[in-house]
Amino acid sequence: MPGDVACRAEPMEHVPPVTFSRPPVVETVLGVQFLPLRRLTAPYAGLYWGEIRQDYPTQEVKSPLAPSVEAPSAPSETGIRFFAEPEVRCWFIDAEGAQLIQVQRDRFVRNWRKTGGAPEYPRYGWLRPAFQRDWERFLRFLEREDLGGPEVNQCEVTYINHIEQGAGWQSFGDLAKVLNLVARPESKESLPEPEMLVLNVRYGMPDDQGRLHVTAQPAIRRHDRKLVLQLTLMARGRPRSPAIGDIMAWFDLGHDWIVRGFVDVTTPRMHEIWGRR
Amino acid sequence: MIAAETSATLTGVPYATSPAPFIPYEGLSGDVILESTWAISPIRAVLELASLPENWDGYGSPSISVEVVNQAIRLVLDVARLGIDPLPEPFVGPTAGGGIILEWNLGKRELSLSVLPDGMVEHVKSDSGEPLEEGQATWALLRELVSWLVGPTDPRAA
Repeated sequence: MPGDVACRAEPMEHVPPVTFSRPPVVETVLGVQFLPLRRLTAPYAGLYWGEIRQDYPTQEVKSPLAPSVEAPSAPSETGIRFFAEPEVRCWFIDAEGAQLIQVQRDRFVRNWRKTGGAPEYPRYGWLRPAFQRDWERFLRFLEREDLGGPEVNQCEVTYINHIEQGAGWQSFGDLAKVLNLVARPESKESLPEPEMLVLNVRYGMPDDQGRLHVTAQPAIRRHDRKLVLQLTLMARGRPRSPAIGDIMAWFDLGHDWIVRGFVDVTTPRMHEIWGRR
Repeated sequence: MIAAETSATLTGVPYATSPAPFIPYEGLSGDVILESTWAISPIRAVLELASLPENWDGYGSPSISVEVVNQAIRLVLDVARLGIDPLPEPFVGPTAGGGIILEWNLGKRELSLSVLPDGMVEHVKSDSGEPLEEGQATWALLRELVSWLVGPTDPRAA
């Protein structure tokens, strides 16, 4: 796979927190994966929607996500599960289309996405309690309907960023000005400018707590057809226990790795554009 | 993780995309992930068609559905993934009834791939203005069609 690098890193404990006044983030994910709840069938997902419909009035049905586990020995193992009944993943979306809950038998995911009605990133300090509130409401539903308690085995925090062409870079040869992970060859005698760049780097968290995946790839943004560099940082790993406190603690760890990882992989020149504070 | 919607069934004819590279997160935004610069202009042209209003042709044609736009994007990405070089960018346009056509003219050869309003993909091959072949397109057939377009002229046809 192009640009794929696996690294082991030291714990990132002593780097000061960083914020940006104009962060390029367009989507976030806080999610958990658990052992499949066999009785959580589509009709029960509908019942759950009834409970949250006031906050999430729209629904869509999607194909389910495959289970993924950050195993120490083999990164990002993706499995296959077979069920007698058809599997679905339900999206429950708020009125602005910006906040979204995804539920399937072995997943509970909460997304924020940038929309015309919600153009500002609401910050982790808002997203974290929003997840906790919705997750606890989901747990109460499962308990009341006697559907079983989720044995959480993976937590995930993902941030997707759009770095627009024209905002710090023009061609793929400029991407060394955006990403520290890309260096221009000292000698420009043999290679021309790259015509395409796809980067996939992963970092192991200490004590097998999980991994940070960093992906950079060009994309066309649908709503304005602009060419963007989609920079995705995904932290995933196993919490100490399925208890809510351990899940939230893992999210804090994952978010910390994403923030510090974002600062590390992007250049000071771009930090200035994004308003580093 | 949001799964990529990587296949569609077209009236019994499976039209499945080729295996995608590892993408850890597909995202909700519908960003079209690029694997080559060749696809940039055709994809922009397809997305532009998504904003056509009802009756864009004055003959009552409907606007183009998201499903048709997505199918046309898949088609562009699949053609790009074939890696057949040199392949010019196609003309991209709307068709009556709410479809999208990708069309190439290369010398005397013409190839059109049409995404119909119901999601079916049809192809037409022509040489010197004479239709040679038409029918439903499948992913397996795509390489053959595009290879024919850019391939050497059959000396027997001269």
